[in-house]
Amino acid sequence: MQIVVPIKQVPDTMVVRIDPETGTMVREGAPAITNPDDLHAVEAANQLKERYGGSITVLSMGPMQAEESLREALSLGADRAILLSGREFAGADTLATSYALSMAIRRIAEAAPVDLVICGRSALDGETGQVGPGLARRLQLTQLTYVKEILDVDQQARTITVIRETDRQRVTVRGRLPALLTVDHTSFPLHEAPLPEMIRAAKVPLEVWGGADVHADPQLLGLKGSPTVVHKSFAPPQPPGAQWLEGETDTLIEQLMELLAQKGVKIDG
Amino acid sequence: MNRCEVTVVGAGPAGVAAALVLARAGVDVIVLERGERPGTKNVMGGILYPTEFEKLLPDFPKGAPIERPITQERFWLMDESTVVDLGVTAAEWKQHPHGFSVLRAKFDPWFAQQAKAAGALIVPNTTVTELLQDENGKVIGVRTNRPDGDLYADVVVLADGVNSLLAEQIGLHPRWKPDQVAVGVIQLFTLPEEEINQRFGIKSDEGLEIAAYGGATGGLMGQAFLYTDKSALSVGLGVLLSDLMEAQITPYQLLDRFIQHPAIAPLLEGAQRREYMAHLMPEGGYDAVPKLYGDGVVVVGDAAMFVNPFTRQGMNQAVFSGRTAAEAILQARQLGEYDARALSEYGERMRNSFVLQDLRQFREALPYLEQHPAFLRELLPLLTHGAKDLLSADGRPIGRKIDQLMQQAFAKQGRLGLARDAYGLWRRVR
Ligand SMILES: Cc1cc2nc3c(=O)[nH]c(=O)nc-3n(C[C@H](O)[C@H](O)[C@H](O)COP(=O)(O)OP(=O)(O)OC[C@H]3O[C@@H](n4cnc5c(N)ncnc54)[C@H](O)[C@@H]3O)c2cc1C
Repeated sequence: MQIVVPIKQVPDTMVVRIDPETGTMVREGAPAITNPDDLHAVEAANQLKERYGGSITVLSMGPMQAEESLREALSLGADRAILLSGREFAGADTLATSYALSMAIRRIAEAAPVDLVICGRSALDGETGQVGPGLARRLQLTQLTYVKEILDVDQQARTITVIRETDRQRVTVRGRLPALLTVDHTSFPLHEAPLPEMIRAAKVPLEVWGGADVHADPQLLGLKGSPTVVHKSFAPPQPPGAQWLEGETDTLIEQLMELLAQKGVKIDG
Repeated sequence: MNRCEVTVVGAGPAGVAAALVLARAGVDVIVLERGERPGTKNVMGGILYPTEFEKLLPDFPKGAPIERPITQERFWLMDESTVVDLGVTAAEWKQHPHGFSVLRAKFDPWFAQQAKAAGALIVPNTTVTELLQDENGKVIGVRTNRPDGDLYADVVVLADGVNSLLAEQIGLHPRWKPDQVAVGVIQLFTLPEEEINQRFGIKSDEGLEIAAYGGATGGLMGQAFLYTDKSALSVGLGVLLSDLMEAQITPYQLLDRFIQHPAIAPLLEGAQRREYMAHLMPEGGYDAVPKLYGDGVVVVGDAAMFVNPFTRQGMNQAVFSGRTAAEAILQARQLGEYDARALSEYGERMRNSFVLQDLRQFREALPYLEQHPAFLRELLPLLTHGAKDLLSADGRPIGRKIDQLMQQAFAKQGRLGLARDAYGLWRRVR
């Protein structure tokens, strides 16, 4: 069974700040992490590999720094890592992103057919959740979103059975392979990579592909292929009356305790 | 069983330099780094002297993420209101900069990439928890915090930075005392590039560093600094941990005072405060340098207390020691033996290098200064005050001002005491 997992490196939104004037994300200085949902997609693929055998290819589009995320995915069980990198890919919206990734997956499938594509549900930085479904449409894959559990893959009958869970319902669904699954960070808990896997991950050669390598139409890539226009973005206003304390932890704690005491809050212990 | 020829603990400049040299010689080398990537655990900025980097990478700094070349060095002697400023610029520095400001979070990963390109494996997110030893105490590998986490090696290079618990574990040095480590704090202020150029009278390919003494560190022994990045200013200071404890002041408070100084505040006006970080720096000087090698192990960089005693900078020393250790390991490899005797070449070459010679020179000066606090607490303030006094046209004749200054100086120390202190210090640095 051949599985492809598209992943993305994102700024850590726990650290990132929103510029209150422009409403845009201040990415500078924010540490880059692998999009959490995507790691769980790798984990789902790894569990399938352990059950049914096969191989996992992780695929990312982004600057060279995304190598870190690909290596993290390798340490969690992926066998091969491909990075789509180059100026032609820059500035892509979800439409152009799913196009570029779909072309790369077509190229991967030239060597051996792809049975499953597993994506994270959405990315921390965009939160659109559109790339997975976009890929399913472009590659004519059975689309199974919000997958909680994978019950069975029947390679003979070419079917997959999963439990999908949304806010309202929990349903067991059987679909035809090849399929595209999306999962989020609440399922497929991550295992800790053992040292030999970390060393293997550091060794696997990284394959870097440009637009021409995947026979992509340059007009459909990057900024050129991105019709999305951001009309307006804003940071949710800070609640009035909030007081911000800055400084070292110890002094902060002292200040905070004092403030609370002033306001008559009783603290035990 | 996981095995490699050389395991390096820590992907700072020292460990990466060692890995680069070893990988180039075809050695199977694995670097273990506890951070998500090299540099994440490092203080965010610094001035880097290119000499040692150039020896490893002839094109340096081509391709390296540097902020600005440093083309002006300024030394400030300060009290609460006054600054005595000595500046150094050299035409040569324009052609061949003697230093660069860098942000470590960008620079360290780049440097590590060079070692990777040479064939070293860099394994992030992995902490070495202890050294593995055989029954004779020879180091035979490391234990990490990962499942199946033991990694055996012919030699382990300890490049784990200041306060190396691993070197302590195998008895290469005793636990450090508070007067052997300094606390460094640094804060980044962002400001548009153009604004920095204008404020400091420099161009985009020029930069400056101010090293400030005296009141800059609240009279404590140490140094405060401010230097230009591309579109940010790095401001910080370093003082002895024991002095902080005695003065009952936090480094953050000291830095805040420096930032509010009338000579510094205008430079930072309108700038945005970004990250703040504190980190230890080795400060024990020559006598605190641990044993540099043992059976199957060498210690490099900050882990070996290798810093410049004047400036507390250590990247150059880290790279030099990493390279030197790697070269000694290559020699030992030819013999096929990695015991202390085979690795002793490393200790020998370090002893004859600028790194240890600089430290030795300061071996006596530092404690001397500490035992004669009058220098910092009285003489320096007198100098700043005196300079201001002499230059003020306040109706007093200059001769009388000098007399008064001399009287003040001698009142505090006595004519002889002062001369003795100055001579004593001079003899020890000489
Ligand atoms: C405030 C401040 C300002 C400074 N400014 C300058 C400057 O301007 N110029 C200059 O040259 N120097 C400066 N220095 C000193 C400089 O940072 C160090 O000398 C230099 O980083 C030493 O390099 P190193 O490789 O020995 O150690 P480090 O750079 O500290 O690297 C050690 C690495 O080991 C890793 N590590 C530690 N323990 C383990 C473990 N158990 N397992 C796995 N990994 C581990 C750490 O995460 C780290 O990445 C400054 C220091 C401070 C504190």
